[in-house]
Amino acid sequence: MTIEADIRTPLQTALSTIAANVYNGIPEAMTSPSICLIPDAPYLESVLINGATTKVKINLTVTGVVAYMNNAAALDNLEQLMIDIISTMPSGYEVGNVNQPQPLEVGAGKYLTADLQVSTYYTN
Amino acid sequence: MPTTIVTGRDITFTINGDNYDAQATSAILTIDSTINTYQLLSGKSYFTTDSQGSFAVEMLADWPAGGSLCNALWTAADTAPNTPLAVVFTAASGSVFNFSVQPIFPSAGGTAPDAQTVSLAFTCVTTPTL
Repeated sequence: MTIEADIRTPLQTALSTIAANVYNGIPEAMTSPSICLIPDAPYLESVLINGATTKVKINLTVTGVVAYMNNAAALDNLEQLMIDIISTMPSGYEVGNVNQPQPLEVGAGKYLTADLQVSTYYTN
Repeated sequence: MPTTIVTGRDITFTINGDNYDAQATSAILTIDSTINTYQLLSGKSYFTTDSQGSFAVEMLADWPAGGSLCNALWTAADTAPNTPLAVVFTAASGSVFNFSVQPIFPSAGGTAPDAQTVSLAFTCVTTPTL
């Protein structure tokens, strides 16, 4: 049992129905459209009793990435992507807010991104 | 004597034999004593006439029927409201309190983005023994 096997990869699988590349971590190379599961801060919280069994609340950021060719199209594409992510989130997740879109430049690529905060619980 | 620290992570408890470790975020046992004060010619005198325990639990809801702790609490309060439930509460290893509580209904529901939580305030029907 690991967080990757029990939490991040199943979430990646659930989100893979969306027409975008889905990564269960930070990818080596950026593509668009894509969805990345990134640790939030705080990442792991001990909120349950009985520390003899490790149980943590996991805070993740689901980042949506679209190509940034022009403002209107990029924002429209990003809004559609984030709505798809919210509607595809599986049960058992607290679904928070989508933050303000931010431009991102990686090499020659220009992207528009937005973060969605989600949380769930994991027992080791 | 070295300082000893125990935290909420040291707590474990069962209600009616069900273990709440996987769902509970907080559990607090409180005993309120009723103390009468008498003003005598020789000074004040104190006499404890009663004590009443309460057991407060905060937990994540686990409503799916069949084996759920919320379902068990609801069923107990619904079908046998006057049958006390046995509680075994460990504050830290070696400090185990035994008592019984009157069944109460758990709350249901919550806000849209958050995990549903249940707040329980049990009345102790026996004085906890340590």
